[in-house]
Amino acid sequence: MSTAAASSPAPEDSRTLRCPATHIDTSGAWLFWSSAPTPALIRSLERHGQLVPVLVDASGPTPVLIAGAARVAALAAAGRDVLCLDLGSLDEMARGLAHMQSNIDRELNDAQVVAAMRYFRSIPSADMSPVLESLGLEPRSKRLRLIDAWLTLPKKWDLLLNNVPLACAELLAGFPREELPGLEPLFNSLSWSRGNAVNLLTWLRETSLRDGIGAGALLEDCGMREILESGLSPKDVMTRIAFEVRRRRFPRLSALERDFAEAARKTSAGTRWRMVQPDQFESGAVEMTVRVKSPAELRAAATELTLIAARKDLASLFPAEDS
Amino acid sequence: MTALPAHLHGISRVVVDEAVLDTPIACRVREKLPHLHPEILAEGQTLTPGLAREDILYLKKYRGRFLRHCPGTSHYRCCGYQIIHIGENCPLRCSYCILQAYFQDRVLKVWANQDDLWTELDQSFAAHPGRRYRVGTGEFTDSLVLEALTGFSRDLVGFLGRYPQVCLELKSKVVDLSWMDAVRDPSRVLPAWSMNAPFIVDQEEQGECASLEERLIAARTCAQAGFRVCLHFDPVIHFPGWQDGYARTVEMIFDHLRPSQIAYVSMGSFRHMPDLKRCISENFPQSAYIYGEFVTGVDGKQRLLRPLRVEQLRFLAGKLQNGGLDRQLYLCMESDEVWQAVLGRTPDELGGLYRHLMAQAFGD
Ligand code: SF4
Repeated sequence: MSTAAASSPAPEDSRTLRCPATHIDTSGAWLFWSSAPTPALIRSLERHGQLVPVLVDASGPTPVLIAGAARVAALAAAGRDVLCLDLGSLDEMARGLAHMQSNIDRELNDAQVVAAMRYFRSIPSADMSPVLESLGLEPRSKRLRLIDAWLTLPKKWDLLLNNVPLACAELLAGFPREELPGLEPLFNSLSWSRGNAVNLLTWLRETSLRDGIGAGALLEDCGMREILESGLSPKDVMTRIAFEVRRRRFPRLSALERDFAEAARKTSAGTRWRMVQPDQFESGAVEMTVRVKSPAELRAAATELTLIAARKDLASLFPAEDS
Repeated sequence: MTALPAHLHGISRVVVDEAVLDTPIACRVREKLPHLHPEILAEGQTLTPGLAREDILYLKKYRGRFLRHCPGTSHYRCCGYQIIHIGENCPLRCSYCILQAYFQDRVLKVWANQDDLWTELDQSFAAHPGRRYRVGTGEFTDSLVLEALTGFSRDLVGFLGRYPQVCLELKSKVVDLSWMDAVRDPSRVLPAWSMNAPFIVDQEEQGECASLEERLIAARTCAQAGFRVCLHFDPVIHFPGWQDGYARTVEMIFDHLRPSQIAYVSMGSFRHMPDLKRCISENFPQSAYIYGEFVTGVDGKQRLLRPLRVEQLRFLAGKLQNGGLDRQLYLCMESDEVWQAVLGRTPDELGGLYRHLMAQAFGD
């Protein structure tokens, strides 16, 4: 049967059959979106029986499952036969497309799109246009570029896709393959926001290239293991790791920031003034702000400012002046 | 056919706009590259370079303005010189070159309609007879890199000989002195070479650039012929061992030139837009200097963290000052604060950078 025929809803020569669940081959790589049966599905099958047949290719000695893995698993557990709709003989492409079409009404997450793309991209000279269309991917889109970059990573990374944003795909693909295992601990149990993950990986990659040190070794140097085992909350762990990696990427800037924060804290202690360095020491300026809600507070802030201005240690607020 | 310099050996096609087919430049190119049959583009046709990885020389009828202001920025002190636009792109391959962010192809464009250029320059200079101009051609290309084929700079110095109020800077990384004998007054032409640490010249100035030694020997030849030369440390790059590298280059400068033979020396720390960083990382993956401590400057460009940059520029300026240079030194695109920290004065104390460099150029 041709690929085109498989993409139509019900081929003319399809027929239904019943067979024991254990007789159905459920090992096909095209079952890329299959999942375990939910309690709701199990309950429904118990109460109402199987209302919708699973899809199979019954052209060989054993029916091969195309879609409906959860139902087959639930019925197998219950020891019941499975109602199947035979789609006829399908090639690999058609099996994948039929699996996709039968599940297409779902809200697809990145992991599912990647799983589907990994399957179809592995088929030599596959016509990708129906696949891209079904997955809502524009041929020259950034999203497709990211997915293709992701596909260059080892398949086991697909399991981390909930913790690593797809936006990191090109960055991850830029690391030498042997360095990827060193990065896995970052994502095994920590779910990073897009911005934080992109920053972290960029700093790691750039430091690695600049200092000629592998990313895994770099993370070790930054104390990743200790931080991961510190018992801090996941949010604090991520903040701490990002801080350490950034400090390694920008050592001088980090030192200036640290010294400035300390100087600003000392200088403004006990006042309502806030001091920030607005432009990463480029202008050498310090921005001072105060929030007042009454003339009395304004007068108090002015007095505090006079006291600040009289301090002897103000030079520490202007490090770039004396670089 | 005289032997062409190595940096021109990569030219595999010559394309000529029909309108400039009989111009002096087109005739010279035909003579110098007789083995390349020029492809002629009729009016309205455009060149499609395709994915060629070899250089294409395109002699074009240019329709824009030839004389332009240098694209400085309002936040940093700009040197205020004007560009005579003679063409675009360069066959050399410096990793830090901004042109790779501007031009994705390898088409070396030369504006061959020189008559239009002469007309525009005549009008501009005649409109302000008392005004002095400091002009250069090395903004969108290297001033001399195609000279052996086009003779453009030779024509230009010949033309500008009529305008003593114009001082022309020819900025290059190759050695081509074929234009020298067309100069009427050597005080109105400033041959200029890029300087860098030897490691940067070796690693980051790929393609057939002249060595530092060759550039300095050429500079000395010019100085001996009565020209004052300019040297440009731009970009100054932060890399491990930069102190030794820049110190060595300064030593080499004073081995070849006396301070009085140098009109000015610029120093500009490597700065870039994000696009250029991407180009460098893709085209020159070994170039690790782009992963230095860059922060976003007030003009939106990435610049080396100010204390690092001041430290580097101060070191370089110190070495140059020890060799006897002083008022010749200036900084490219830096704030007054950085000027003060590096050179101990601001452009205002020199009467403004524009006026100061004009005076330096004209040898006042
Ligand atoms: S010589 Fe100048 S124009 Fe040519 S590649 Fe190098 S930096 Fe760019």
